[in-house]
Amino acid sequence: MNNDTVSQPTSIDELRDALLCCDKAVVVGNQTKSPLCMSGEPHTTVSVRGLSGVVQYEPSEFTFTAYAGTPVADVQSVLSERGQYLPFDPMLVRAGATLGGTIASGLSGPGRFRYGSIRDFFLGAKMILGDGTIVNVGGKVVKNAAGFDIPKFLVGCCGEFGAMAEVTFKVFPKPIDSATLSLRCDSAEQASQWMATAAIRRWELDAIDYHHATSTIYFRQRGPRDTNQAIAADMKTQYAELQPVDDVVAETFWSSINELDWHAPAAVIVKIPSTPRQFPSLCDAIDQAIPASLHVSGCGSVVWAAVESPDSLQTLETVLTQQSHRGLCVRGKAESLHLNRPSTTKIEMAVQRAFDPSGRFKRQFASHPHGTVSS
Amino acid sequence: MQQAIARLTQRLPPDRVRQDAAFNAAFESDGLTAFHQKPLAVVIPESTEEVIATVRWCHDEAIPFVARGSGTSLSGGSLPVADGIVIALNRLNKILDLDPVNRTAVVEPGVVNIKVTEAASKDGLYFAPDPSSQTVCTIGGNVAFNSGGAHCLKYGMTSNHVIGIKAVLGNGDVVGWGSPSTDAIGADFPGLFTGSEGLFGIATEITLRLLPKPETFHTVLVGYRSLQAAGDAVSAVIESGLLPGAMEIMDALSIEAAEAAVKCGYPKGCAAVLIVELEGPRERVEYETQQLADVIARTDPYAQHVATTLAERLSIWKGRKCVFSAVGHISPDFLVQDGVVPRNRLGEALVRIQEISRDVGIRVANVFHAGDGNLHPMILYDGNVPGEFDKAEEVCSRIIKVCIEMGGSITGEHGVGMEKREFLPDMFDPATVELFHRIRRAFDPLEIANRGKMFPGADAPSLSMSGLHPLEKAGVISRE
Ligand SMILES: Cc1cc2nc3c(=O)[nH]c(=O)nc-3n(C[C@H](O)[C@H](O)[C@H](O)COP(=O)(O)OP(=O)(O)OC[C@H]3O[C@@H](n4cnc5c(N)ncnc54)[C@H](O)[C@@H]3O)c2cc1C
Ligand SMILES: Cc1cc2nc3c(=O)[nH]c(=O)nc-3n(C[C@H](O)[C@H](O)[C@H](O)COP(=O)(O)OP(=O)(O)OC[C@H]3O[C@@H](n4cnc5c(N)ncnc54)[C@H](O)[C@@H]3O)c2cc1C
Repeated sequence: MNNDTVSQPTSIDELRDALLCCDKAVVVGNQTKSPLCMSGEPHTTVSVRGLSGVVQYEPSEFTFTAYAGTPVADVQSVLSERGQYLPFDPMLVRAGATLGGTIASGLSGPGRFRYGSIRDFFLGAKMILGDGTIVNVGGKVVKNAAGFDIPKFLVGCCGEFGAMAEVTFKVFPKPIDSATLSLRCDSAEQASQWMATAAIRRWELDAIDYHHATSTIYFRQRGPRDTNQAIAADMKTQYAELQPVDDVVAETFWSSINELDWHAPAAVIVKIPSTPRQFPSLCDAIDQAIPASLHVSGCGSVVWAAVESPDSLQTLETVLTQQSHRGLCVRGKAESLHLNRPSTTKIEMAVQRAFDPSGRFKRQFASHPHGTVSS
Repeated sequence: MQQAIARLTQRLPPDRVRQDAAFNAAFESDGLTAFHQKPLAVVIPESTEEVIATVRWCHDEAIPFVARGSGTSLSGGSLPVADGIVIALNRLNKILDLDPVNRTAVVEPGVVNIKVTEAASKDGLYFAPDPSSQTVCTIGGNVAFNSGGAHCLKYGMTSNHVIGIKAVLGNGDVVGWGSPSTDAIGADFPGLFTGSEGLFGIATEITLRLLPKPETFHTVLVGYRSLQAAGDAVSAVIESGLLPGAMEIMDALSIEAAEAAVKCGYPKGCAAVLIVELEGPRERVEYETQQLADVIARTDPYAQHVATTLAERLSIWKGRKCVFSAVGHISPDFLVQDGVVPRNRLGEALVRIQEISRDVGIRVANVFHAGDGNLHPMILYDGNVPGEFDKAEEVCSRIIKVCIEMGGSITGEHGVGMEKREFLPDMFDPATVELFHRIRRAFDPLEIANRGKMFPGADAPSLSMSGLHPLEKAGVISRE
């Protein structure tokens, strides 16, 4: 269900006023037709797009603070000028991702393998609660143990605990160069073994992904070109079939993963958290059940399933339920946002009430499990 | 009260509930030794079920409890509450699962930090968070305090390495959050629990992320003529694009203490030393070694020593690691502070600390995790000289106010606990503190889990920590 009313505040005060003006608000960034921006109830869409720009950036501090509606692409270019980057590989940057939407969606790209996902780089936020109060959670320094770590909690919360207005991230120096290597294998099981071994070797790889349809592992290294070559030579002694991937081809490949368009146009893309041990049987089971294009990222920590028809989602849900996995539809037409959604606990509802006593924001843990979504 | 205790003993196997004064004396305080409180009883569960039964009894009887790991908290976090019980978790010390393929370990809360790395090392893995107390402190305590160490800049604090938590909450509910996957769907409850200082309930099972052990280290010790120069050198290293595993600074007084204690052979006559350690695959470390040498050459170093053997590396670290216990050689008593400033204001913060020190007439020795702006000033005083302790306390609180003023934090790793609860409203505005209260009550409506900690309260005893933790005195652990 969607509403036509769209509010576009351009300051934090206006954002608070906009929220207080409506009974039910869905806060969005770039307001793409994403399943995550839907609500099962009539609502006003409040876009933070007008709250954009970097507020504070000191390269030697390894942090920046920016308004939540700032496009990630803008931030990336500011950081890049000073040789820094967001190592968790933000997703959908070309598609227009904003910082707030990136946090709320909780999506991280292949680079999350090396230093951790978005939760490990998000330090603090100024946010507006359901009753209009403005709070400042976390901090603006790279290390802080004071108060509850609410920033971590907000990652993946889909805007259901408050509206983020300003956010602070940790950044790292951008490695000088990168090199990608590919390795064909016989099965997902073999891929899992090889990936797991590579993950604990001395090489300290930056990303380890697996493309299921072509049974290919992709290893990404980051560092000076010469050292990348030396490490690649050592890896070759371990995996005889290892092939270097041309830089331009590699760039296109990694970008297609980040933009979630590695597959032919798909109806729905589902994020399925997994592990190196679990993903082979998960991939094989999905393969047998429905036509799907599968990509495994973060050395097995997430399986992206691009499903050709929305009708297949029900079957996918059955497979996930059988294998005790959960899925989140992040793109395209889907009847339901969550697959194999666990039932809500009273604690989860109590915490949501703590943030939003009047129930202004959409409810992750509401009684209606399925909101209708469209793309 | 005794009737309630009788009802508890009925719920547990024999000998789990201890009320004998001699035994319980050991639980009356933690590393912040000046606070003492006799608990009503100490419960020593031997299984998760016993922890759950105990917490549910607390909830039914509205009796407050404090979870306790090894009691090494330096902020009074594991201090008992009057008429409350201590739940000591050291016997829940099993590593339940260690999976080299998933690179995870599932552990009970009483597992000692270093034991995880010891168990994982046969697979080339380790647990990155390494507080200096790691040979003694427990994972449960690390989770509650979101503990850190010298490697936080590169690898983050404990919460970056916790992906799943099972817990019994203050309301008696048993919950399981997270999964073996490092990716998740929905709000991050393990992330919220980590750092909650025991105010939500007791973690009974924790899933940890493990990392591959770095192949090579390159450790450099550089002496500078001023603290400001050492602070500026840290920014120069950062701006050069390097990401060292650790960067630590010690000032002249700390060097003096370390030399007196362990004769670490640091360069004589410098105002500060900077330790920088690179780590990773040897090819990359070799490349970065040159880069680091070039950066340091531009920072006007006074002296320099590069470790060429493991023994030399350990000797550089020995001086750094012994500082806290070493100040005993130059001062009868000390207070230790734990605050954070933005890294690029480190030099300025140090000048301010020196001014405060001069102003109050109390010496301050500085060591800190320079890579992430985490200061550990040691305020040296003599408790036998009337008024010195009060002066030391004044220095402590003025330093923490400087941290807040500079946009930093009142704690980088030791937690708010009892010690800093009066400062919480200086760092967070009333609306944010109120949100903290509401969240806490969602998990623990009766506020029985670690009551009296983190939030300001009128009954706060004054801070009067002095000297070493008993385990430091015994030479078992030392602080970084
Ligand atoms: C699920 C999903 C589906 C997408 N589908 C498409 C697509 O079909 N076509 C396409 O071209 N691109 C799509 N994208 C790309 C999208 O436009 C962005 O690139 C990005 O991922 C989401 O960022 P956003 O800023 O647009 O956030 P939005 O998509 O507007 O919002 C994502 C989530 O974040 C919440 N949120 C956003 N901002 C805030 C804030 N400040 N405070 C609190 N909560 C907030 C929203 O409520 C929502 O739950 C999709 C992205 C996602 C995550
Ligand atoms: C010499 C020395 C050096 C130190 N160096 C460092 C350092 O480098 N970095 C650092 O971060 N800290 C350091 N500390 C402080 C301390 O070691 C850490 O805070 C540690 O994490 C505490 O662990 P513990 O097992 O001793 O916990 P305790 O002191 O027993 O408890 C600490 C807190 O955790 C809570 N708690 C314990 N177990 C649980 C559980 N299972 N569930 C919920 N809550 C629980 C307690 O209620 C309390 O609030 C040092 C301390 C000493 C004495």
